[in-house]
Amino acid sequence: MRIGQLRSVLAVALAAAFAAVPATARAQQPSGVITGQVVERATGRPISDVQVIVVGTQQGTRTTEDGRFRIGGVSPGPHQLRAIRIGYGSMVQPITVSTSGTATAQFTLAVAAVTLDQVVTTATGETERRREQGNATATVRPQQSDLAAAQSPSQLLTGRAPGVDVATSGGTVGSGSRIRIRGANSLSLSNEPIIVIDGIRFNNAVGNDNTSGATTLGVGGQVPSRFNDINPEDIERIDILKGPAAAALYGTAAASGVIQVTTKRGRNSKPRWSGFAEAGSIRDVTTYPGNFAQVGTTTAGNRTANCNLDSQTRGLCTPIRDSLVSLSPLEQYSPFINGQRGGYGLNVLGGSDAASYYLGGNYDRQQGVFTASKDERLGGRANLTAQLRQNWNVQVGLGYTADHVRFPQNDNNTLGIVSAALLGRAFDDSVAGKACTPGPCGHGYLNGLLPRFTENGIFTRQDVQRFENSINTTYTPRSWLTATGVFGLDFLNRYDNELTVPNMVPFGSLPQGNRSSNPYQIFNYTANETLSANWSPWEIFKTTTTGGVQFNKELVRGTRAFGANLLAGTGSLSGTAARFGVGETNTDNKTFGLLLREELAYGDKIFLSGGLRNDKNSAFGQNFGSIVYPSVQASYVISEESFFPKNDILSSLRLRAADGQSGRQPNFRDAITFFNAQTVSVGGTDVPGITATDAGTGNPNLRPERSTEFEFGADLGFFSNKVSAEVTHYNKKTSDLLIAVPLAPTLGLTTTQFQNQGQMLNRGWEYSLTTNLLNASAAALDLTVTGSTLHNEVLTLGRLSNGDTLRKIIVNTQQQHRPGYAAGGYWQKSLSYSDANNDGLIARSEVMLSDTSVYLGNTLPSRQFAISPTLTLFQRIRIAALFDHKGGFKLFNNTARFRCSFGNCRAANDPTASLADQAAAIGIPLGTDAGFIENGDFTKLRELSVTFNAPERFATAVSARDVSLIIAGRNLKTWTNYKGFDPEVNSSPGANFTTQDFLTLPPTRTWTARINVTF
Amino acid sequence: MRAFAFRPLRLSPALGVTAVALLCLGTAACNTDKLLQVTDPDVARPSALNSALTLPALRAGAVGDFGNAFDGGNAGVEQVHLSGLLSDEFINTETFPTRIEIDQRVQTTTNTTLSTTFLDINRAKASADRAVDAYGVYAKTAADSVGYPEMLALSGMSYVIMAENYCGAVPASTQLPDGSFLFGAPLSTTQLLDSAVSKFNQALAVKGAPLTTSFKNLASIGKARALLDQGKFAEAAAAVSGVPTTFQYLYIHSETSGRQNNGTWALTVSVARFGEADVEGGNGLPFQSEGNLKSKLGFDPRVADSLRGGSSRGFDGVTPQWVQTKYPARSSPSVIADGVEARLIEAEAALKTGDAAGALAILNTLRSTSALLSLRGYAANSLLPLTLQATPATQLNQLFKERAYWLFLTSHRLGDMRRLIRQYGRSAETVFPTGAYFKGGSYGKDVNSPVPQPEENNPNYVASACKTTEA
Repeated sequence: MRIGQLRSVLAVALAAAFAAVPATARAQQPSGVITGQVVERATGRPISDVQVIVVGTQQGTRTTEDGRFRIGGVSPGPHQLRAIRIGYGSMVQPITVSTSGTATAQFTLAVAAVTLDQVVTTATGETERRREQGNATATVRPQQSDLAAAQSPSQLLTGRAPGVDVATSGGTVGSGSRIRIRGANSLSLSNEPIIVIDGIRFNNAVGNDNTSGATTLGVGGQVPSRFNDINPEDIERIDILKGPAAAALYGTAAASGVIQVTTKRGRNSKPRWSGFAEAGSIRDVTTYPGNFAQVGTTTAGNRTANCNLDSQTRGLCTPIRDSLVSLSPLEQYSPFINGQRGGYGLNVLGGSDAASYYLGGNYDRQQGVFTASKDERLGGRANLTAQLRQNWNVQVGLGYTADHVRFPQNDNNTLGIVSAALLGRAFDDSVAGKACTPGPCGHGYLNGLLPRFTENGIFTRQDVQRFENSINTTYTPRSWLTATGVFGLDFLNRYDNELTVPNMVPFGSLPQGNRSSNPYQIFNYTANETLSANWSPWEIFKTTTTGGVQFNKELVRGTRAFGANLLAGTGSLSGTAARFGVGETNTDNKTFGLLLREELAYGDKIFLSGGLRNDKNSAFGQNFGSIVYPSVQASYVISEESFFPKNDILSSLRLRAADGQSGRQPNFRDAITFFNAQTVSVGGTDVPGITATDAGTGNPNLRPERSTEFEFGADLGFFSNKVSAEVTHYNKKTSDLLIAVPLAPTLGLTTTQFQNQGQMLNRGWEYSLTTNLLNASAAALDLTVTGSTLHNEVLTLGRLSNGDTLRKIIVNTQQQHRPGYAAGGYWQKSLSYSDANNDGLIARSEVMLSDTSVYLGNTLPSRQFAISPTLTLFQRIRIAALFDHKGGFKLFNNTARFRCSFGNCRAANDPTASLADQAAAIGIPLGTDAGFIENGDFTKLRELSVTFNAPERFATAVSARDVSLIIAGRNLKTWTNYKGFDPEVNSSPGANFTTQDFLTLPPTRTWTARINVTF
Repeated sequence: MRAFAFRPLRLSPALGVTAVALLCLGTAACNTDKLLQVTDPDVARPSALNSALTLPALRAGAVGDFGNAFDGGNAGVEQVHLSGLLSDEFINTETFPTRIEIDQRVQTTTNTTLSTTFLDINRAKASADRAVDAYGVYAKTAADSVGYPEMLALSGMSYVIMAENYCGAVPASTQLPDGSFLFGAPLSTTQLLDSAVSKFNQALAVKGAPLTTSFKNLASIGKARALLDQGKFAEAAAAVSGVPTTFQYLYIHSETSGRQNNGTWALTVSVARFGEADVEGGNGLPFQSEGNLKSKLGFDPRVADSLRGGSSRGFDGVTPQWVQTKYPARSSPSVIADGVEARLIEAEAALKTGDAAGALAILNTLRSTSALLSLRGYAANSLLPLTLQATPATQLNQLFKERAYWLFLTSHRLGDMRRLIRQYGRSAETVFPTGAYFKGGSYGKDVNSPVPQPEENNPNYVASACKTTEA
């Protein structure tokens, strides 16, 4: 079937599918129509995707590729018509529609970087313009080139929003990232933002946890991210509310910010088909070090292969000349393959006066750099918008994602591929063609664990089926009264499963084979209703009162089953014969909130608002009732005042401030005391028993953490708004921190009990600059710079049960929470050294340690900036880059540390290694890892893309409207002094604070070619 | 002026109705407390443990918690392994620094491995005490009371182990029924053993059917062990006089769950973390060489071992890995108390009175009792008779070596080595591993394990009372 026929068939089908709604609606609606076109002032070019709305109504549409629009069903009479698009100044013009008549409007928009009239969605489900908000909201609109360069939604956010830190964890396809917005608020609860898609809550679990994680199976460190279940191809825009000042009306759970995703919608036009196909490569580009060993002679005259520098300086052995041995299994017996990525997709959007639609589907496949590393994804979405009546609008969204990911063993994992190689031996047992006894040869891999053993023997998979359904409806019974409703369900059907093939992995009991099968169903229900009434006692003054209720319920139902002694040839629990284990998870968390908001607007220049949110939550302690979160906001577009001096430099100025509170509820069982079941053999029979192991010592007074944030800032436009700048200062203080207060072990209970008693601070600056440096028909140059600073500090941890001040909480051996310092900071005894005898070797006696642990640095970057230049040539070629810098943080290089503790790192064996590296290695047996806590500052050329837009005649030749080719690369260059493989790796991306480079696969380099075709 | 033309507020029935509906939904008309109720079927609340019907679960929980603390299956260091590492039974063949610290006798109070080990034995005590309390409240009949003396005995055994393996400053804290905490002050080794004896006496005082022969023997051996630790040799011997040599109180490991696995198997056979030691630090016993089938010194099946297959190295890839074979499978049972220990106590009591021949006779009877050898899976005549040693010192050495071999990897050895110092006047330098440590550095001076730093959250704990270099 030819493309044209296919289009016709599908168009007919779509028309039939939606015929009923428009027919009903049309019969009931006024027949006034507004048509028109939007063009660019400087060039006269039509502008597509301009949002054209009838002010004060729900009616509007977006322009087609030729800049045209049509809005039907408009009531007769005078109206205000507003045209908005990012990159252009907005424009409002009056228009009068006669009964059964058609009015025409022409917009000529000037290029402008200022975005005061862009709309964002609020917590109440309504939209409002930026100028009406007292807070800063970051918006990301993925371009086709972004989609080509990024492999996941979290990568779409990287470096694109000030104050938003997206920490890539490594190069394993399908693994997630850690997202922090304006720092970390909580020591015990999740610091991940909540995700809202088209108004409904979307599960954003992270980590490996049976109750609330993103998976139940561990592979050493890397875990999937539920945020990445969002299909990037469906995203229209992402609005980021960064903290309580902006998100107070979201109530409990919004303390770490809200990421609002709006998916693509239809528009009033003929069906527009778009398709893409892409293919690319994924490469490991890291050079891996060798495993070292020094051969020597012991004092007893025996040969030793462990005559390392420490032993030499202690006189325990003498090195044999020229016998320093090195082998890099990852380089010489590489497990890496050339990874690939590919995908294709098709979508169509269109509609009529009464209904519009967006239908899309795509498939994406990534083969990582190990054979055991794969991610296969299928996405689909149907968004329907119906104007059932002039005053009643309904949007129905149906999203579907299927994801099948396989993770390789790595990170903190004896069986890991990188781990086994980097912790292995310096001697190649296959030298000179000798047969290895017993075989096969280990090639230097630890315990002879060749990569193929685990790659062919352990299949750790996660299969996800996710349905996200939403209904948004807006009803305006009177011009001054609007009711909105948002109802939806995010259903996640997750299947974590692992198969260890018998006799494939020669380690421990694994030769027996085993199977884990853990199906989970997670339901996230959202039901929001608001009623909003506005009143304008004077034309220049408007007040809007909004009240509403919100209900959210997250239900987790999961079972876990394990069996061992697997029958060869089988791959399910049915084939297992021993060590059966089962577990079940049933958790339910409900929040019920009331909200009230009052907004005052004066002259469309001054906006004041105040809100209250009252929440009850099922996880609050039984002695705690509800919590109220207040908020106030102010915005003043002072440059529109008559008294504001007009000049050629400063063309617009808005001042804004916001103050608000939000919270984070305790986890499901934090407030209750409970025991777990254990299986015990009594009299030869397995029976259930009660145990306090992994149980809970509850606190009936437990309440949510409360974050209070004040932010203020300004939006500035320069040079006729061709340069836009935003600057914001925020100060966020979280009180009633849930502190896991250590319990005395002699109580025989749990290790900790939660108390609300700590405080934490996050403050900093955010800035952005957007400018169009050049805008000519031959060339255009745009530049966006974003940046932020962060000061994170634990203010207090409260007191111990013995009344003493709680001075620290141990996160892990290297990280602690201590008042006066960054949460999760690195603490170790400091290390200094001096080669006193000038022998070029650092001996234990030449290393000095401090008596106690000292603060060595924070894990979250304290400063970030990103630079995104875009050059467009001849309106055909678009070259875009993203440079990303993170600085002011440390990273624990546990890869090097562990290798040195194994005695196989260069610094432990090679006398030509730097004295600093030798001292770091010597510090380990002396009791400090300080030498491995390194400056993590880096700058990356994160993305580079080139887009070629084909000439019109070429597109026409293939029956298309537009054809473009994009070549995009990611992770192309890193500038850093970090000594490890990459300063972005983290072997614990699912953990709240634990951050370390620990035998993790570094980020890979991807190149992608993508063809987009629009019909 | 036009901009300020006043417009009256327009109210309508629709607004009123909708507003009222919203308010009702959120407040009085909608019971939000009911709306927010959730169920939690996965765990047991304390309020659910309120009848005699729950006593079996509490009893099983106490047994399981004790077994876990003794040599639990999740590859953590429990009391058998703590005793083995700190004494001369095990050497460390892996990479975890916190566990190397133990083997090297240089433990710190911030050692996270030790924190878990200490917590687990306290959980075992608390679990047994919780069951004891529940029996006191809900057991109305003899049938209800099955297991009651066992709980008392396990509580007592927890005290004994803490007395033998820790620094003599272990508090006994508890959670009261109202949820509040009652923090204990540090108890000396003697006080811990007194508490243990008290628990065993309570068990032995239970009347009627619940005091089965098995539980009576368990409590008797436990009491004798505590008395032996206190240097009350004759009383100890008297306490076990009625215990049959072939009696065994076992913790039954199972493959059903990881927690039920034999942890010693997991740490040795499965993943090669700890190896059987051989004259560790000069003073240690030749467990490995005498347990080696190819031993020139004569194979002793009580400490049997074999070289790990494949690389023959431990997890660290460097240290030769000799794997104990006493616990060859994940379901191999562990002996908590047995008749052999009873006889060994009697032998020591005899030796203490100067009856070396009598002591030797007891030892040789054990070595030749076919029923016992069969029970243990040893070949007949695999243990040849011992000869009378010439001096009290060598007689004591012989006795303690017999104890070490019979009670190998059962959390007795550390207590015995401490007793050699405390009760027999030997110096730590002649009893514990000393000199250069095979992984670098030197052996430290610890002869017991410290109460970990988290106990400092107990307002009544005095950290300075804990002395790890005192036996």
